[in-house]
This record gives sequence, C-alpha cells and structure tokens, in this order.
Amino acid sequence: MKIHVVLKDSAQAEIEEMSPESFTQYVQKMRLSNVNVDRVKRFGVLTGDIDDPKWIAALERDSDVEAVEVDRVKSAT
Amino acid sequence: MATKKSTTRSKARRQTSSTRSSPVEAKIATTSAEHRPSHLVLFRRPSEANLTLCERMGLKASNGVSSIRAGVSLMSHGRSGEAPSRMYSNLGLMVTDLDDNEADVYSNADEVEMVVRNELRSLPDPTVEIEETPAGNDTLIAYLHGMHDATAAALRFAGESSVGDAVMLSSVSALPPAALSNYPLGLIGMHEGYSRFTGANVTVAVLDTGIDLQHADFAGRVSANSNAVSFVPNESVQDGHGHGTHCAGTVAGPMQSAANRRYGVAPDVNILIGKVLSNAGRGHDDQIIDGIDWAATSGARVISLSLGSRRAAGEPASVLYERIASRLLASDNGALLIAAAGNGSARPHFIAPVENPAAARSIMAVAAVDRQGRVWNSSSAQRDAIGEVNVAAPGVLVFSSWAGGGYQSISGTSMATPHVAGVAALMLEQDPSLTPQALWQRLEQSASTAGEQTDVGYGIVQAP
Repeated sequence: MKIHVVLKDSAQAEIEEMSPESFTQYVQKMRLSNVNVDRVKRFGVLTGDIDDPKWIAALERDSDVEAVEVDRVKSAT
Repeated sequence: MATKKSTTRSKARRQTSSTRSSPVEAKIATTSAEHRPSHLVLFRRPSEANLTLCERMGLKASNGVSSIRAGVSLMSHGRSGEAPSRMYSNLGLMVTDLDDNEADVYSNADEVEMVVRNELRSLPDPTVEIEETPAGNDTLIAYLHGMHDATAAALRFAGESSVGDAVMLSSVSALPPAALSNYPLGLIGMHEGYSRFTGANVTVAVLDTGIDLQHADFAGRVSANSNAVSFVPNESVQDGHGHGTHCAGTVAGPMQSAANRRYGVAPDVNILIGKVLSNAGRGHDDQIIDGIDWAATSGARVISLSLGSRRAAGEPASVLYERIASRLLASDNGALLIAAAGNGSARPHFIAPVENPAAARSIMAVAAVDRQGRVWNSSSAQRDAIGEVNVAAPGVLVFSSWAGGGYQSISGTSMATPHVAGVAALMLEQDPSLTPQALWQRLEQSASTAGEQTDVGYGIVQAP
C-alpha cells in the first residue's frame, strides 16, 4: 500500500541534515520502502510503500508526523 | 498569504441568476457509461391516457415488475439491449428508448407536449442542453420549469437526487446576445477574443490525460519526453481520452486554429503537459504529485489541475496537497496551483462540497459558469468551512481541441479551470514579477461578480 507521510517542518529540517545512512534508518523506522527522496526534500512528504496498514495508526502518533494519507485515485472533472 | 482563509471579501454581489429570464436549458444528469434511454417524452399533463398511449406503442410492464415505487412505472418494449422505460405518471414524464419513427409518433400525439433526445455531449458528467426555445414560448418554459421541480422532487424522494435519470432544468433567465456571440472568451473579458497579452514567456503546466501530439493546433509546440511527459505507468503522453487535449487547448490553443476559430486563452504560452491521469481519466495521488513536482521544477508558474475526488461535507481537505501547494505558493519562484471545484452538484436540490485537491486552502478552486455567467448546475460549491470556491470561469459547452485531431464542446469545472490558468498566464506576461501569492490576489481582484459567493467565490476571472 502506498502512503504519503506529511512531516512536520521541524522533522523535515532534521532530515535534510541526515546522512544517507541515517535517512535509510529513519525510513526503516517508519516501516516504509521505495521512498521518493526528492519529494522529502522539496515538500517534506515521505511517499512510500507500507506492508501492513496497521502501522498507519502508529505513524499518525509519531511526533515527527503531521498527517498520513493513503494514496487515492483522482478523476478527470 | 493569499490563501482562501486570509483573503477578505468585500465586493458587492450582483443579482443572482435565478431572477433573470432566459431560454430553457435542460440537463440530463447521468453517471455511467451503460446504455441509456434515448428520449424524454414530456406529456401535456399527468393522465391515465398517457399510459394508454404507451401501451398502444408497445410498452409493457418490464419483467413482471410494473412499478418500482409509487408513481413510477417500469416498462419495456421487450427489445434486446433496450434500456427500461420509466413513466413518472404523477409528473407526466417518461424516459424511454425510441427509434426515430416512434419518436415522431409520440411527437405528433395529442397527449404529448414534446419529445427531447437524450444525448451525451460531455465527459465525465454527460449533459444535454437545449440552448434556445422559440421566443415568447412562456407556456412551454413554465411547463418545463414546473416539470423540473416536480421530477427532481420525485427523484429526490426516490433517493436519486444527484444520480441516475435525473432531469434538471436550469433557471430561466435572459440571454444577452453579446454573450452568446462571444462565448467563452468574451465572458473572461477577452472581447472579440482579444487581449493585448498572449502568455508569451510564461510557462503553464496542464496535468491531465496527456495531449494529442499529432493535433494540428499543437504542431511544433509539444514534444514527447521534452515538454510533454507521462507519469502514468505503461502509458505514453499521447492522450487516449481527450480530456487533457481539451484542457491544454483552452490554455494554449493557437491564435489561428485548424478549426478557424480561436479558443485558447494564452496562445503563446510555453505549455508543459504532464500526463497524470490514465487514458481512462483516472490517476493516483502519487502520479499527480510527481507531475506537480516535475512542472514546478521545469519552471511552471501556473499548474492547472482539472481533476478531483469527491469529498463529503465536513471531511478534511487533503493535508498532502495543502503541504505541496502551500510550499509552492509561498515561494517567490514557486507556482500557483489551480484546481477544479468538482461536478458533484445537482442544483437546485443538491449542492456538493468542493472536492480534493481543490478544497486545500492553498489551491485556487474554480467553479463553472454558463454562457450567461450563471453558476453551472453541477458545479460544486462551498458547503463547509473547509472548501471554498475562489473564482469562476466558463465551463459549459466549451469548445476546444480533442484527441484524434478534432474538437469537442463539453462541460465541467475541468473546462473552467484552464480558463483561469490561461488568464493567469496573461497576467504574468503583463507583470512577470508577480509572486504566486500576488497572482492569486490579482486573479481574485480581477473577477466580476457572478452570483453567490459560495458558488463562484469572487466571480468570473477577467483577462488583462
């Protein structure tokens, strides 16, 4: 399942200071894979895959996280 | 910040459209691609004689079910592939499948006022519009108006107020000849299709179903994998739908089109085409955000999003889109995101809230108006404190380019949105120093009021 984790500004600032190794560990802590790194830097959004939806509730409680949204479909209007 | 919550609204609103007089406009709302009845038969009055006529024409109770609810009979000619007919006996209205001969017979029957063809003319919310009726035919107008109210009430009672075979007739109001002759560009202040600006040296992105790369009106202007990129897995940027080509045409259609008719607001704009919706007209947030990121990185100062997903009143706006839009809006080198409010309403009985992503505070939400500047019956509106409409633009029967090299006139807030994007490009050519926030304010300040604030925000944007 693809999800979008919207980080708080403070968390984004911390991520920008991280080494690649630290960032990898951070993403693993979030239980995410296939994360778009550029999007994190530009928008403070971690987009990636999560194996089990039950982890979403835990992510929503994470102090670094502003919101979690599951990827949805949009249609032409 | 020039967002929806921080802007003030001080403009006086002009008279709402419902008080004007005009030709009759009928809209038949449908929701799926399945086979639909071909005609509407409007009887002179509710009467048992109407059923007798139908029986004479070969209609019988369908599959043993003669009534689906009080006052609504289900009937069939028994032909293969035929859509069931519905007789709204209390209203004197039937939705039915007819061939041309049968339509003629009904038209000539004493019991029948008129027969209307149930045509599909637009995507994704098909509409039929009867644009003009004979002048002075007040009786017919009044009849249809009453029919509309009664039918809508019946359908609402049946739980079909916004979907199914609903029949909606818009308010009756005056039809200014000038607006008719110069629609839609005249409605955004481009009289005779003219503005002294053309969008030169301004980059606008249209994120949609791609573009017809072979369309004559875009020859030499779009190139796959250069300024036209697909973010849809396993699909090229070539538009297999038509919606994206239509939206791109409204923004950037040429001064002299192959149709010998100008329809593009900003013909000299640098256009970026991001295919974020599949050939079926659908796309994931992930693809759309990829497209936004690409467009902003590629220098787009305006990003047009004629897409959305339904949102219930009170349901939060997307935090994801708000984050992205607010970042781009706050940056001097960022971009203004403009999105369609949505097509979920069925006025006057149901008003749908602004969809996501347009409901995000930092995305400019666009409503659709018709050629008289009246809010379109299906245009979504502000229903809660979350999703405001910011501006409006022409969105009914808008002529533009289409996949396959041709043209289509279709309706939707999707069609209104690229008009606003085009006007934004003209404003940026006029004043390249405008920040995204300043552009937002300029667009709102330009607008001419066009109805209720909850429907059209500041009103219809006006080109410089």
